[in-house]
Amino acid sequence: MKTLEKKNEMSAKVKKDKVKFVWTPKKAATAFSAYMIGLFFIYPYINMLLTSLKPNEELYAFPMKRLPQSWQFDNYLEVWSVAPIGNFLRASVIVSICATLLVLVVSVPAAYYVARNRFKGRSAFLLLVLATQMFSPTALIIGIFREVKFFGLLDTWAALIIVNAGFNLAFAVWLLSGFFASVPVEIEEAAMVDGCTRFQSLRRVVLPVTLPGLVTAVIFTFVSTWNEFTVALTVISSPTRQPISTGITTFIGQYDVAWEYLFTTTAIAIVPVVILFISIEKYLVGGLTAGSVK
Amino acid sequence: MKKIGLRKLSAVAAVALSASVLSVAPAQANTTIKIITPNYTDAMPAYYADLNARFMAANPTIKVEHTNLSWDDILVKGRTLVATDSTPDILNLNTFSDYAAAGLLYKATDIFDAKTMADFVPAFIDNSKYNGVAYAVPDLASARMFFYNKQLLYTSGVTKVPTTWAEVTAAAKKIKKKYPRVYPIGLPLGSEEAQAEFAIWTGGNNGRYFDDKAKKWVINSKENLETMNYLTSLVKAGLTQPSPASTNRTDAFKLFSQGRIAMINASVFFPSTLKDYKSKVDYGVAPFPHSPKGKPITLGVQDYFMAFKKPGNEAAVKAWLNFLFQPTNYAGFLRAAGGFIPATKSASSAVDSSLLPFIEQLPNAIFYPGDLAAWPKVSGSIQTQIGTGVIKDPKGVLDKIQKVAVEAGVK
Amino acid sequence: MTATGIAEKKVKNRRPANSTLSALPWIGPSLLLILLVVVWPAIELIRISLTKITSAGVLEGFFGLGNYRLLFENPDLKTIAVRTLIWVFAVVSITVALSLPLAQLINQNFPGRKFVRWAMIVPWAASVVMTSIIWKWILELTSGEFNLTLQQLGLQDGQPVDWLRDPRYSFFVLVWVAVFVSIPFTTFVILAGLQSIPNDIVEASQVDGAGPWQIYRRIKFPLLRNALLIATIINLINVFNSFPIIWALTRGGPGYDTDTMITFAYKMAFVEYNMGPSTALGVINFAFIMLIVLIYLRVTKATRDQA
Repeated sequence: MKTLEKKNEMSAKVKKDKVKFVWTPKKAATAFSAYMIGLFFIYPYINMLLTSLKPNEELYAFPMKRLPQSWQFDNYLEVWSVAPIGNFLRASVIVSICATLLVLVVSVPAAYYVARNRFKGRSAFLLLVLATQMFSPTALIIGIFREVKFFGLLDTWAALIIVNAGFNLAFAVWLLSGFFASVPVEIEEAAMVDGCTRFQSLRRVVLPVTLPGLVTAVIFTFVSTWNEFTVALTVISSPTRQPISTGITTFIGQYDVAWEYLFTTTAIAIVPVVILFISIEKYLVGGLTAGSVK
Repeated sequence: MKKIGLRKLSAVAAVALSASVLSVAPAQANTTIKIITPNYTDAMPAYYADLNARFMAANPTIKVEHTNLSWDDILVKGRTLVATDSTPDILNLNTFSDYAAAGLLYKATDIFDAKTMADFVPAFIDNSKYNGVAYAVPDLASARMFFYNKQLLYTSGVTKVPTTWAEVTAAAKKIKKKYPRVYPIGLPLGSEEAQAEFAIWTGGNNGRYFDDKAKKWVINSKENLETMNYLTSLVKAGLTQPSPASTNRTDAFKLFSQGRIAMINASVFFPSTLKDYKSKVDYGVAPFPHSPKGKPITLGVQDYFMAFKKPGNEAAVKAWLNFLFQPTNYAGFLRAAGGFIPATKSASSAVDSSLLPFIEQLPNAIFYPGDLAAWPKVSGSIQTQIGTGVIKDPKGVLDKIQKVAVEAGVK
Repeated sequence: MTATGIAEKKVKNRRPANSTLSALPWIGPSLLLILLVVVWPAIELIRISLTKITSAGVLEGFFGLGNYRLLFENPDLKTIAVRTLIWVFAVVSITVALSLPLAQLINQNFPGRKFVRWAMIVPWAASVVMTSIIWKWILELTSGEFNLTLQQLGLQDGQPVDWLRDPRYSFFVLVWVAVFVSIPFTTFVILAGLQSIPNDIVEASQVDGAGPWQIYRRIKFPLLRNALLIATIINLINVFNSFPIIWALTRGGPGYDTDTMITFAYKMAFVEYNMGPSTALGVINFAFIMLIVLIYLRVTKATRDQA
């Protein structure tokens, strides 16, 4: 048995992915506990989905039932007319996309330059970036509120876009500079010999190689802007301009919480970003390695 | 960045332009007014959509930008809006005094003619005064009474609806004995409405937050401490729902609607809330129980319409508010808000019979000191803290809030 | 942060040091954004903490340290500060302690490993507010699935427990939810650390006859030091800053019994209209984070120099 395992591991080293898995009691135990843990982490979201499919009168039924007694798929249709979900989603999509674009436009040149060049103030700049990475808007909310007011941007998406971009910029610079640094300078220089300008070589040679890093930075920024709560809560006041993260509070009324609609909306808001995030799972580990751990 | 700057600039230009047009030719002026109102119920947005459409058809020169907010939002964000440059023209809120104190509001008499002013219920107009001048008008009001679950009371051997504190305790003990899983008394002292819950209990013991005659805060008075001790005794005996200090009114109402709470203080709109919950509870309504030295009282709560002074908006806000208070429009407002007490005499004559017991209680109503500029701040402090009195140190909590109130002043 | 370390090595002797001016077109936009979004609000916060401010938010001139004096006179501040430290310490240490074995587990080879990893990503991707609201629903007094489960398992008889509102439990519930949302990120950072450990080191020690536990303790764990450090520090800051969990579940109540310095600052400003002391607390919170950042810089610099 032992030698077999050993052999398996040896071949694993050779052909990482194509190893044939052999069940042993120990491995079965490992797998089983991993499945349980996986279930545990999605349990709340399963509860959310089930609740979102219950009719209102079942929510407080006594004795309570775990599964819907009559599956109310209509909740997902009705919710659009109960609250301006369409508006919320549009606001979230626009704000998240714009913030992401802004982060990209601003962070790529900076990350590239610090990865390739030394200059006076380089370490000061990196320090500032790192400090930014550590801050969340919550601690600064009163200052942000007053600044946004100063620029006359209260209740605008522009405010959300800029603030979110600012707070996500650091992670992107951090991550991307790691990726840029890993591209051999020789490749780039070869391109420049062929007559590319510095910018062209960045675009044609370096960016394709660093695509995983870019994708990770993009999705990270997108998801974190999508989920941002405190700034949206404080800066946006018109219900029609609210993003989905604060829009869901519409269902928390003065006398009642419409849980079934709250959870249909939550599901509508969570599912796309979860899919996005899962799509970068492979890069996520790599990105974290490149960016911070190695 | 540039784009934003431009947009801001053009917005400023547009405002400047409309202002200049206004000053040149007021007759054809196009005025835009911003209105912010809370959703008493889900029916409010539809009501306002219809009202505004008809209003704008009748007043083609006035454009209405209307924002409906949930109560949660209007309390936090509505107020921050006012604290910034984005003041609305008309606001519907539960406080007005600090804006009046800051000189931001029109006088009610500038907005309404004498006939309309005379139609408001006098007690409600009195509560809309700051330094003796009405700066807001009541939009509707509520009173509170004692709701009880008939089946739970009668089957536990309680033969008479409790009218005193002692009877409340006795009835609660009987209910607890018969139904161990029922919470005999609902005591929602969570931050949502703690100021109301405590006010109505202590009101029956002659306790108040503010002494109108002596013009001083009396939050740590003997009467209030007695009330706090009585409520603490209920909690200690396990006669209330668990964690009274963090149970919000919404939570307690829900429990009552499920038959899990037997007796509770609730507002005039509670019957319509119970209907919304599809509750099967058979309930009764009675005057609120009081202590040996007190008498039955009710807590009157009213909300306000107020108009903010801005150059060139006077005619428009006047038109809109008078339009709203036209009898048919106002009747629609009350219907949409769901089961409140009307703020005008003319509408009061046509109310649903279920409101009558509440209106009968109004002569015994006590009110918050809503005419003080300090009230919003004091109320915030009461809401977050007073509930902890029944689980911790009753006197210490009252003293702490008293200190906040004294520092906030009596203006 | 060793990304820049790598960058450093590559850069050496490649190109001469440029002037700051020539760097400006490249880093200028980043700089501007950071100044605008982080530095400006920080300075603004400090400025208004030294200003008298009314409950309606109107500034009324220089106030010196008046707001700080008002803040420190607040009898609840001390308890809240102590609770904040306990909160941060409890959440971070439990999170790291649980994430270590979890990362080890999802680094094993078993069928469906991908799906388990995906499942663990869900709480990371989902908004913290929404996750908190879901937990609130699960832990509800009479209609929550948790109390139902306890009753069905016979672990709870008589009255159900009010997990969220009973001050005896609510703080632990908050810690629990915070750990739940922090574990995925932490686990993945540690997983990344595990994957960066060269296989040959592990194999060499296997040949030398080391058991799995020994390998973990002697070889892997020391090599995880950096990953752990980063996970710990980022968690420290996230947990200290975490507003939505507490706000969605208890609003810091009853009273201030579950407030941390972050929620307390918000509550003072936007619920109790007590703007002045709230800005002072904001500055203190800011300083606290700065302190953690500085410690972080010291420590990472030390490890980089070692390497």
